[in-house]
Amino acid sequence: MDCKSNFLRLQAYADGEIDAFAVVEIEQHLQKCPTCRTIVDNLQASRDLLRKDLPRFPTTAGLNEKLASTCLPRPSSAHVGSISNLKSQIPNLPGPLRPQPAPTIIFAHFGKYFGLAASFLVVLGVGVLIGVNRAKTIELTDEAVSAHVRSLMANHLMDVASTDQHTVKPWFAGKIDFSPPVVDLATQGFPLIGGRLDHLDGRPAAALVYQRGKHYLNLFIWPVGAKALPDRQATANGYQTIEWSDGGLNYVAVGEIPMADLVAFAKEYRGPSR
Amino acid sequence: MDESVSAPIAAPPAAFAQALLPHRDAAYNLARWLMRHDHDAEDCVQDAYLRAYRAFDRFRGGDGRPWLLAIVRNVCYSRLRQNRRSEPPASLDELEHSQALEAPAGDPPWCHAAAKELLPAAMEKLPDEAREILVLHEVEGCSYKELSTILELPMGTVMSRLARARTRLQVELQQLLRKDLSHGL
Repeated sequence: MDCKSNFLRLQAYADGEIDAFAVVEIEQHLQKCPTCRTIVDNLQASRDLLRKDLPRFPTTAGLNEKLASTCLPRPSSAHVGSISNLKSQIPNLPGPLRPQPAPTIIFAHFGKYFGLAASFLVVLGVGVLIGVNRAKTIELTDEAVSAHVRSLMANHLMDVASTDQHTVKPWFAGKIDFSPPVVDLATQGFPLIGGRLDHLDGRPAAALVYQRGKHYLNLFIWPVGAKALPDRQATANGYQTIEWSDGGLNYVAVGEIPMADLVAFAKEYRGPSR
Repeated sequence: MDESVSAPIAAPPAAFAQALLPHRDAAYNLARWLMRHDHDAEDCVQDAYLRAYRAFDRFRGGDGRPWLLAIVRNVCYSRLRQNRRSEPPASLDELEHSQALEAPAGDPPWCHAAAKELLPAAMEKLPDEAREILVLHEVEGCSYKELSTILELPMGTVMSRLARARTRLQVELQQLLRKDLSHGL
């Protein structure tokens, strides 16, 4: 081998860009040619330094939002969570998620019936509070389901596709102001397949994507703001949801799998992170 | 609210977001290294995504990353040309015949204790073509083939440009280390 004319070949070797036959040939040559050995060592040292210490500039949350609105047919923020919006786009999605009638009316009748103005007001107040709270919870569930549907519909399931929790977790750093616990549950039958930046409860949320057979689960995570989610399970239009909060974070898991499976998922997820 | 008001373009096909959105970190990193400015880089990336959308019928499927990065790069260069109309920057290709492929003599600077600290300054001194190929190859892990798509160059030119970029970085880093040492004395 003519050393002088083969610098580019040595570089290709150092970069892992040549075939196995050439590798054998070059390695035999390197054993007896210290000049070429030095060249390869130098190339490898330069690559190691750059890979380790050259900064990679991260995208800002603002840019991510802008790109998402350029690339995705997202509903406007006022309409986020309205499942009826999505329904018009997906013909086979069953009827809209309708909030249960709030108990306000019943209490109002009760109050009027007994003609007790004071208890009427107190009970009405309580009724309204319960109603508002309940409507809010349902709204949030509705929002999570619609974010789940949107992620499947827009083929925007993942921003970072990886089964490695050590890849997914750092991906969120710098994009959101909290650190979601990322655990792979492959051995428990729920392999982690990626993560995504989403929007829930009026703020950025992390979405972890897990697979169960042919179905995908979205686990939405965001910091507890005004209200920590109580443990709650719901079923609507074939979508199961489980909500809970833990360590200052709210969680909603959404999937089209049997509730028993989703319960198992939540149990496994909460197990190791507790 | 009418969606067409808030969205700059009609609803893009799902395939567009799927093919290109996951590569926005790579897109921004390349733009940031070329533009050397946060806001300019963000503008370029946004512009690149819009151009990619308009040209999406020319995307042949497969990995969207090289295709997108080629667009990002073109956007960055046309901005840089506008900004620098008065004085064109020294290009690596101009040095193609004067600069040796092989590393210069002297101690390799890579393992020096101060190398990490001086690396960004050394990168700053490189011509754009050298900086971009190093960032794409070492940070983004692009293969020669991907580099050839992104830079729109034949494979042989990719290899010699990469070699010259490394050599140039080595020279800059050696100079900075020498200065650093003489300041320390």
